[in-house]
Amino acid sequence: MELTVNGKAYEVDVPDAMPLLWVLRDVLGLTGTKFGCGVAQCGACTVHLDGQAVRSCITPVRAVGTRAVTTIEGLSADGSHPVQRAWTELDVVQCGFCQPGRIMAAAALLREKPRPTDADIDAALEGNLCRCGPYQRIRAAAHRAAEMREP
Amino acid sequence: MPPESLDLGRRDFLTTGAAAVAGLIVGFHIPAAEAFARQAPGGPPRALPTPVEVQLKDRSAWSRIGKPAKRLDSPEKVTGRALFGQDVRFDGLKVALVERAPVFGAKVVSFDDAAARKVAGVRAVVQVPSGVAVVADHFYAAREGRRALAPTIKWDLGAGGALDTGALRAQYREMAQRPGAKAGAKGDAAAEKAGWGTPVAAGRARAAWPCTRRSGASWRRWPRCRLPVRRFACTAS
Repeated sequence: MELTVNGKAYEVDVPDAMPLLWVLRDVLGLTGTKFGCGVAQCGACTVHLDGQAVRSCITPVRAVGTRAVTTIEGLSADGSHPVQRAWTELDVVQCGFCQPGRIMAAAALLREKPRPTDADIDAALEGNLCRCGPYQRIRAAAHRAAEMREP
Repeated sequence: MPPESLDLGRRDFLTTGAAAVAGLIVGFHIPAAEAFARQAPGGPPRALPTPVEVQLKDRSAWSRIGKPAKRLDSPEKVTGRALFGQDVRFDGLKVALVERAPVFGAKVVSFDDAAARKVAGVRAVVQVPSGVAVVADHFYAAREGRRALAPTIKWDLGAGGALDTGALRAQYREMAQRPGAKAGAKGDAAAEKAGWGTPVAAGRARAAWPCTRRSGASWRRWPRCRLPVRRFACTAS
């Protein structure tokens, strides 16, 4: 099966029902995408398919098709994506486990809505759970990322 | 060297033994921290004399306490480079998932591993104290193997099989009436505790706490797969 991940073409020999998450983590070694719940309830496994945020833990690899997969490792070459910079500037992360998935969800949101409202941010990120609880900083950083994107 | 054997009352001790203390406080690889401390100038912290007078730094000279500090770990955490316990990879790594006993104290009577072993990538099916483990090349194979295995396990539920929330609450209420060890006396404890109880679900961890272990001469264990791994701890092994 052929996959394009972070701009690179891969040929993988896996069962076609295997969730994309495990192809990324266990076959391709891209461990930035996290396994949280395995049943699309926590958002830690969020990646992009052609720019859309999906939960990779319930996305069978056969459903990817020709769509381009982007993971946290491929969001930017050097951590310079506005969401990554805003997250760093405002010290959003604590333990950091949920952040790769959350950052991917936030990046997808800004692509759709360059100037999101608080309600847009809450709606787009409500499926990304965090046990540390920096939700106020997350919202502030999403606004900051929007400013960085289009000053 | 257990932490309680360290005397933390002296600045020169802290300076000399800083490496050992850092290792002990964050709680990993104590042998490595000890070895480091033995090589430190001045020798191991234990060799230092017991302090007589403790000189504390004046508040005006504080440079860190009371001031906000920028996080140092953001760059690797926002790029996916930060390594968590579940991200540890090494040659020969297998993934094991355990089908656990449905109640505490239950025992495996029998199981049939034929269907689990047919799943591509499953390497072994092994009985362990908490249930039956499926060992596989990757998580997906282990999970599919465990799904195939689960219905074949026959359990002896034992005494735990009869327990439910109602029975547990009744048991707690009964136990609360028995005399216990006395730490102090304040108010009417007997009346207070009559209505106490804890829902069983509240005491249960919501997430699994798996761990990664490398066996052999270079063995090492990475507990708690959702916690960040300290890089220098990894390279120390």
